[in-house]
Amino acid sequence: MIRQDAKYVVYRCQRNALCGGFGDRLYGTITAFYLAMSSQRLLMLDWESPAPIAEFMSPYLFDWRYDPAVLQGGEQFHLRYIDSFDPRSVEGQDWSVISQKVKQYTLFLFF
Amino acid sequence: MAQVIICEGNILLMNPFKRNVRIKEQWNEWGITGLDVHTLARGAIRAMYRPADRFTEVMNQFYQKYPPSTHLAVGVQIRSGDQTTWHDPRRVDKISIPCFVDKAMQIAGTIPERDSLTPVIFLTTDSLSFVEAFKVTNRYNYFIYFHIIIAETISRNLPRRPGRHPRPVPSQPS
Repeated sequence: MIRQDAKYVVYRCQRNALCGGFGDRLYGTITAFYLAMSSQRLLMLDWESPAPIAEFMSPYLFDWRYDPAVLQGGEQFHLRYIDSFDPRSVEGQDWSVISQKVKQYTLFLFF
Repeated sequence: MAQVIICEGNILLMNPFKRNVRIKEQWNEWGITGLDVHTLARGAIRAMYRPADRFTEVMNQFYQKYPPSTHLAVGVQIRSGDQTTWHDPRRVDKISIPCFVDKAMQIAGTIPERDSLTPVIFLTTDSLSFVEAFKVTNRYNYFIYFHIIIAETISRNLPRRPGRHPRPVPSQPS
């Protein structure tokens, strides 16, 4: 169920896309996770290659299963990076605040 | 209307191997210095995933050959580029092996007991010569027991699901 008033981060790895190997994809999802948590967005994983991620992994603390309806009609912003990420590419975000939240969330998850 | 940020690639905010030093500088600038990248990565993975039945089914086949260990702390993958199906350039030399072991033991935070058969490092590589180089590493005067799997072998032996096989090529009419 897509909430039209919500903001989302979608990690995407579709067939024939430049996703990198498994390690690259894991990094991608981890970064998307922190980006979503620290900017108060909902996270979805659209990871279809070479097999749907939901076939091997189940959601744990939150439901990240992808619903294509999230892309219907809304505003979209694309980040495509291999081996780098420029936080300034996400417009309108206060990254000094976000970085502190990343730290808080990580501490929360562990302790 | 929902607002969506679509992320593709590995979009690295963190990189334990410091291929992009600028990222680490950025983290320092933000004041995130008390947590290492492995802690951040583990936190995210633990929050997001738990094994699905299909994953357990696949892994159980490997556990029969390589029993799981609670002592296992580090996974190391070396893509040497010499005996591989990967298309990476050769980027690792055997002279780096002691550094890998040093780093792995540092991350593991433990040193195995002498003559212990408790696996601490899980090594996958595409090169048997690298396996040998790992085996002769003895900087701590402790025997380090490696689980060794040739990564290519894993992917080839993964069981396929019905309906996911490529269609067989029809035989040519004679």
